[in-house]
Amino acid sequence: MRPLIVLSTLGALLALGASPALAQDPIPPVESLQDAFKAQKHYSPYAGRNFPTHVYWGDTHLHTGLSMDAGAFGARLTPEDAYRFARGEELTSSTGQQVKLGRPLDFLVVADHSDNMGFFPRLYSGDQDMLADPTGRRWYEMIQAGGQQGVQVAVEVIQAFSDNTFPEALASLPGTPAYRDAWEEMIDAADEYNDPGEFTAFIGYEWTSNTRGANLHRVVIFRDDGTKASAVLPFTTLKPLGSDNPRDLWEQMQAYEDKTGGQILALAHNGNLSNGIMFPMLDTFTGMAFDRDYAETRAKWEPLYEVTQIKGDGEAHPYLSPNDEFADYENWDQGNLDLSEAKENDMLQYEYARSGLQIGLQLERQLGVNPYKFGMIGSTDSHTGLATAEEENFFGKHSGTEPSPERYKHPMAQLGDKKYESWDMVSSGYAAVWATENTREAIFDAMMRRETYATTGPRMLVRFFGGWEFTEADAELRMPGGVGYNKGVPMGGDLPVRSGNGAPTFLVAALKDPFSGNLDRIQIVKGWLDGRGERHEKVYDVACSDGRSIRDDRCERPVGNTVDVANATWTNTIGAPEFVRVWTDPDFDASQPAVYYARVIEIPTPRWTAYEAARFGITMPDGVPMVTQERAYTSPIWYTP
Amino acid sequence: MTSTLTRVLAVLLPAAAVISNSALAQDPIPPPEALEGAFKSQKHFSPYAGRNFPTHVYWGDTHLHTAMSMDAGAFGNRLGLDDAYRFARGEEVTAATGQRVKLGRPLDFLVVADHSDNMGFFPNLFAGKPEILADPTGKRWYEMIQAGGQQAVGAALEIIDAASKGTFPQSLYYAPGSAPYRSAWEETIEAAEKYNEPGEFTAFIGYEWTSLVPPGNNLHRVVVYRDGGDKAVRTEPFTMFRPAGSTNPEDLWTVLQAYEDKTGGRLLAIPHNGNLSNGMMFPLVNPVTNRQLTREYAETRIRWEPLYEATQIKGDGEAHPYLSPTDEFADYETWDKGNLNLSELKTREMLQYEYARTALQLGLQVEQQVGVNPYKFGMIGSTDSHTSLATAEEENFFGKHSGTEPDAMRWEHPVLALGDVTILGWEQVSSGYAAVWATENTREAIFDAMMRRETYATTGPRMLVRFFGGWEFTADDAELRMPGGVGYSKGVPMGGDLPVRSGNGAPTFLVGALKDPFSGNLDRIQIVKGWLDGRGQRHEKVYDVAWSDAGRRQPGPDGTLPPVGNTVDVANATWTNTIGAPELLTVWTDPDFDASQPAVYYARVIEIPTPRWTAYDALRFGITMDPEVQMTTQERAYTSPIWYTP
Repeated sequence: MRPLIVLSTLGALLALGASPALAQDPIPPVESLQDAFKAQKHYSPYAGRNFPTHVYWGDTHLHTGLSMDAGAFGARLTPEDAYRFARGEELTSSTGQQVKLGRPLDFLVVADHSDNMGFFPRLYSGDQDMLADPTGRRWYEMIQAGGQQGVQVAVEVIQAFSDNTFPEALASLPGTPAYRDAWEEMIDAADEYNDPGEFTAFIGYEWTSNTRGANLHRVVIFRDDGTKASAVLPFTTLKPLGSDNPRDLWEQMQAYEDKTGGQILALAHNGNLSNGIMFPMLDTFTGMAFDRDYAETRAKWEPLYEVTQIKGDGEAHPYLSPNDEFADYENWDQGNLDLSEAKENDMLQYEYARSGLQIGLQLERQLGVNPYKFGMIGSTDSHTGLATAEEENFFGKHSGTEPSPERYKHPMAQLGDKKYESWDMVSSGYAAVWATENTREAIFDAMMRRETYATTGPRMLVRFFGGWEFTEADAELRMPGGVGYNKGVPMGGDLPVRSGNGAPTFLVAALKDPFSGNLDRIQIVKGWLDGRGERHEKVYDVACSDGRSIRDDRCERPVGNTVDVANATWTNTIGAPEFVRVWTDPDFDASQPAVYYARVIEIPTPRWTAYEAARFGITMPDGVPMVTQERAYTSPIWYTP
Repeated sequence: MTSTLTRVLAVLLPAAAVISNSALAQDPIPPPEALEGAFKSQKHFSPYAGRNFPTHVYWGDTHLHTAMSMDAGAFGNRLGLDDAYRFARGEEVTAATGQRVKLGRPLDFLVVADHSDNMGFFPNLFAGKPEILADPTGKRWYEMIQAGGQQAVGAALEIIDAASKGTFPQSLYYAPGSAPYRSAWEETIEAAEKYNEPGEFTAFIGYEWTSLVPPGNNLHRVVVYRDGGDKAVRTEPFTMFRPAGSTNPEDLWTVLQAYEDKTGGRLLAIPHNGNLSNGMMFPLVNPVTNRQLTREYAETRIRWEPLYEATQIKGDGEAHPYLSPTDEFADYETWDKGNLNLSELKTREMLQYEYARTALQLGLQVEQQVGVNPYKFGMIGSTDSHTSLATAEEENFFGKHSGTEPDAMRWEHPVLALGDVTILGWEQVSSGYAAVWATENTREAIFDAMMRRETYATTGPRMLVRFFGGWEFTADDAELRMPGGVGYSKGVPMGGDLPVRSGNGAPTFLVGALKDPFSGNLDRIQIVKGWLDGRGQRHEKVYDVAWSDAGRRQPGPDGTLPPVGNTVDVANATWTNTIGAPELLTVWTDPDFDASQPAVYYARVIEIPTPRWTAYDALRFGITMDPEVQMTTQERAYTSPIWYTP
């Protein structure tokens, strides 16, 4: 019946337009057209779905022996090894241990540091140009000797690089044949292992801006293959060729696209080691206020943010979110990357994703554009060539922190009396991407539209849709995708223009990782600006396991804990295997800009330190966390008045 | 580590020294210290490194028909081999009734098993091939089909009838040796070769030998090739019509042996669910010779038939309530009205020779008599769908044949009828799939896993199930959450024989199940034991070994575990996973073990109630079905057994 009405209307419109030039052919009688419009509502619930139905799992931030620091710390694995490992093959780690992922990844970005890329493999193999230089020969001989002498080389190399005293003859700089070779090796490995439909190997690198130890690193990802990517060289930070200012990186990215017609994006390293300059209100490099151009350019090139990785989780900080009992999660807040400057409380707001999103709303008010309109992903930033984020299979930050009975004793990094303990390392995280297929194009495009989420390692499936018309019934059908795309926008999107007088509604769902912990709860985190432009945030529990009711926006009690630390195991006898809920913002004010994302929390499970203690039969000091509550952070959905 | 190694070498070295003068000595023996570096610890930190056992379940359908099958074509299926493979590997296709359809999740492997008799006839009739039009009956059938509607249905019925009565025109019959038959078989092989993609998707070459012992007793077997087309093309499928064919399985086995002798290839045969065999699937007396089974029969049968199709669209064949009156889950999707064409009604005496549970016990009895167990089979489920669509998902069920694809009436139309005996559309079971623990997704690895029976059946969902038997499993082994490693290390997997008994204990079993993420939670795991007493009499018992919601339910005084509950909202065809467990893992020791009695054990995993396909139909078509129509189901898995032999 309904199609008939539509056709009548259409027929009338066509009839009206029949005489002018818009008419193409005589209009057939309405009845004869009905068969042309068969119902598109299929019996098979899986037919005719044009939206993403599959999450692809990956690591966007992995280093191999081609990264100067990774090589210096002992990584001998190559980009080829990294791709083989990520797609599920067993290999031998740099410390000689057999290792394999529990489940393969779907995609990988090898993101070696662009500065001095490929230096260490050349030194290690005794490259003739290296041996021609006296320092190079000395370093080579020390490495040949091995043991403490080899370690000393690593220290000297890193020191020389950060002091800017690195011998020019040894440096792997853009423009030299050695640098070109390293870049070609990365490109060739990605193109060889990229297998459309099965495994995506992205070409990429890390631009490593690190002035005075303030970490502003960006991973650069190419949508393109080697024919385009080889038309340029990675951007570096060392002057005169490079720069430590992100604006210069973006300029280079624009130049690449202009030159090749390719597509490229950058995603910022967790800001927790930036000491207050990842999401600034003022331009750190000039001290001036931002202009609209800055906001537009940043938002154009940086759709995603690395919210969790081995060097700490960056979603929220307890100083900023004192009422959020889950905010103090694997925080690294002693200082900047090299611990040369201690952390001040005032820096924190410019470092964490939650406040970064709110600052974005503030800047949007000033500039008309939100520079911090980012989606969420997790990645490892592992320097071992091994994308491990499984607690029971964690191979650490760098090859010096691969599994051993000793690793918890040795600091992961140290400067003077300040250090990052190895047991502080986080076995985190992975990037989850809702894409239509496993190809560079589809995954890159999903990243650009921020249809992604971060996890600290587990592979829970998470759906998050926002709209104005979701109702309780939408949560009952067990298939949130169909109704979600139909009535709303997915994670990463903007709420459609408000219709009616209601508050925004959200359809949110999580399905546990079959091999990980059950789910404790789903929360929706809201950030907004009040009438004076002040930032606010609130965490709403929207689904609780075990029949717990929600009081004052919280599940009425903690979920409990089944972890047997001594045996590094647990039981999934608490928590839920799945949640699907519709939530309406009870505090909505249509005049206030707001941003919403979902946080999914698992029940407690053993942390990687517990597996380490059980397997090596060691007792770690009090204070070493042995239990974790893994989680997922979705990309936000924005409301703009 | 060092001391262990030294001890091992210390034992080894004197032995070597003793024989060092003989011809066995190869080279001078180095000192033990020098060898230690050669024996690095194989215990890896990475729990996933160095695993040489199967760590992955591959899901498939071993029994799918396309339009190449005469009956499928006659019932309206126009989808050929390409569509079947494309659909199974996850692509969207248009069904014979014009509906778009796609699997929720792709399968990992598929056996297209078209009926060997008259294979390829219908597509050629439909296309009006000249050699068919040259025959007057062929021309008449073609014209009826061209006319469509009731005339086409009439032609289909005539064709089926002629085939089953043996009055099919000889000049039209596609028999082995004829050019059109050869062409149909080559087409079947080529499609499998085209879609077989080692490591990604396995397309097996296969066919169904369709033995229908008069008056209609189903002894069908699906024949599966390990080989590629180069070997498979060297023979043609075995049929049932004389003179080329036979309805006697022993003749099939002879032909299978001849194939292997000729080509050096490998084959296996999977019997169709025996529930429509009217007592003939697992006989004690060979119906051909009318004598007790011989050792040769037993050896030959078990040589070729390692697996059994325990569940499919035409009924579930694990257990029957008449045979297992104390098993409250035995009456599951039971089809027990008669044989395949309902020409002979079922009698109770037939049932024991039809259901998997009793057959396993019959096998123990035959073994006592002749020394070999002919019914030592593993379990798989498959669809036997005739639509080219391997659908076993309740929310996406496309039925037995193209005439029972989704529409508002399919539930009330008979799928089988003879006289006043009918089986109605709603009685179709949206079942099942074959789960195979294999080392990789290749023809070779999956076939080899089938041969060693490392498989299980499900009624559609994809729960992961591990089942190991041994003498030394302890409760600790269930705590580590990784049953594979300890399972293979201390025992044998599903499909195996318990090792020789050590000590005086009872056998122990490590059993684990992980829910299908998209299906219902788990209600319980049961272990089903069958055994023979001192007099050779058959017995069975079902043990609940792990269950959900243990906080609120424990077995009562009679040992019965209360039901898990029911969250199904039939009207909306939905449910909540707020009861049941996402996983169950336990070690169980047989409390009633008698070392002198042969026994067989398998695990049954039961899900919480979820909507049956009929509930989805009722909701989507806005219809009300009769009160007798079942609207909920408790899906399940059946593992291959583990045997104990005194």
